Amino acid sequence: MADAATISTSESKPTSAMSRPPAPAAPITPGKVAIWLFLATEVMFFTGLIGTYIVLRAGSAPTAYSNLFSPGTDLSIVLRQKPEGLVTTSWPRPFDPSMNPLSVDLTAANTFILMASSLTMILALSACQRDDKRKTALYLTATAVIGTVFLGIQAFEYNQLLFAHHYPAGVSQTGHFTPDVSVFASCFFTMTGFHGLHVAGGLVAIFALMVRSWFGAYSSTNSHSIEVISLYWHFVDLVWLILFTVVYLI
Amino acid sequence: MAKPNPSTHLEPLDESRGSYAKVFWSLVVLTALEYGFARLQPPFPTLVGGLTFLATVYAFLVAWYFMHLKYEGRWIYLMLVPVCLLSVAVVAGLTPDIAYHQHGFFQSTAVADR
Repeated sequence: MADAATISTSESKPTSAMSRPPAPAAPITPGKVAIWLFLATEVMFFTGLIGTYIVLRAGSAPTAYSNLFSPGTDLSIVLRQKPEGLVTTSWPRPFDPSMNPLSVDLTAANTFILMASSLTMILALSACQRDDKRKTALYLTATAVIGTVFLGIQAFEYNQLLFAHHYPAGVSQTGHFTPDVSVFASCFFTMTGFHGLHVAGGLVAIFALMVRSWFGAYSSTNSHSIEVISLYWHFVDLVWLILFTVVYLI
Repeated sequence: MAKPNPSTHLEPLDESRGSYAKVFWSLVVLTALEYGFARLQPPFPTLVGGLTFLATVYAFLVAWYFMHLKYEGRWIYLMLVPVCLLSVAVVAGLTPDIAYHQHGFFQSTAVADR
């Protein structure tokens, strides 16, 4: 301690005389490198899912889905008879309830909700770096609540698809949109399900941050954890928009 | 004593809350445009092209501003560029399977195996 005091006294003069250096680029911290490496593996993971989706979709037969018959029905005999009103397609088109049960409107609203959580997350980090502990806690709480709402709406959507609604034959033979009724259904549940798991994992971390922030655990010199989780959360938001585009809109 | 090191101050503090809000509203507009464009139901190639463009801009804004890529050094691009190239390679490597599916090669192989 004596050494430290000596050093501090001897170096105090030149330090105070120095002007403050310009804001440097963000430093490389082990946590940041680790989270970016992890996100790189996540990019590959979701690329694998989306790539598989593209292959399955592009390779789907032109008569794989129809408005009158359930997916997987062999339409070769039916098509020879040219039944009236039969529409066939290689993949269910969006906004077509006779073949596609997904609610684009609800999911679009849910997308805005997840985006709002991304904003509150970055504001929490910003508040933390300004040493505003109260706002840090408030923004983290808002992120946790909004993220939970997103997951809740996704759970509601799953419930509607799996159990609550009865869909026409073009969607499913059983009347319910379960993962086994078509390749489209399998792809949908796999991709959105894995994303939902990522959101759930992020929420666990955000709830932990939230609780600690209410006890004043974070400050401008100790915001690593918030930054790392923030990076993950923005990545999850980014992936969601891509999934929303690929699965729901195209 | 393990005192926090001020040099590990994470992000430059010049990013105001106002600029984050601007980015957020830009993302809202982009998503609304995506939704509206898909609602119009243009021809498939136009739909895919338009939505890919909008989603790319969205991804760029999130990564650049919210994930603070604009403040990072070159090290991060050394990590991200190979990942992006590998992602393209993975999808490109899978594309021959489209032909396999379309021509029913997988099914015929299964039948032959039996």
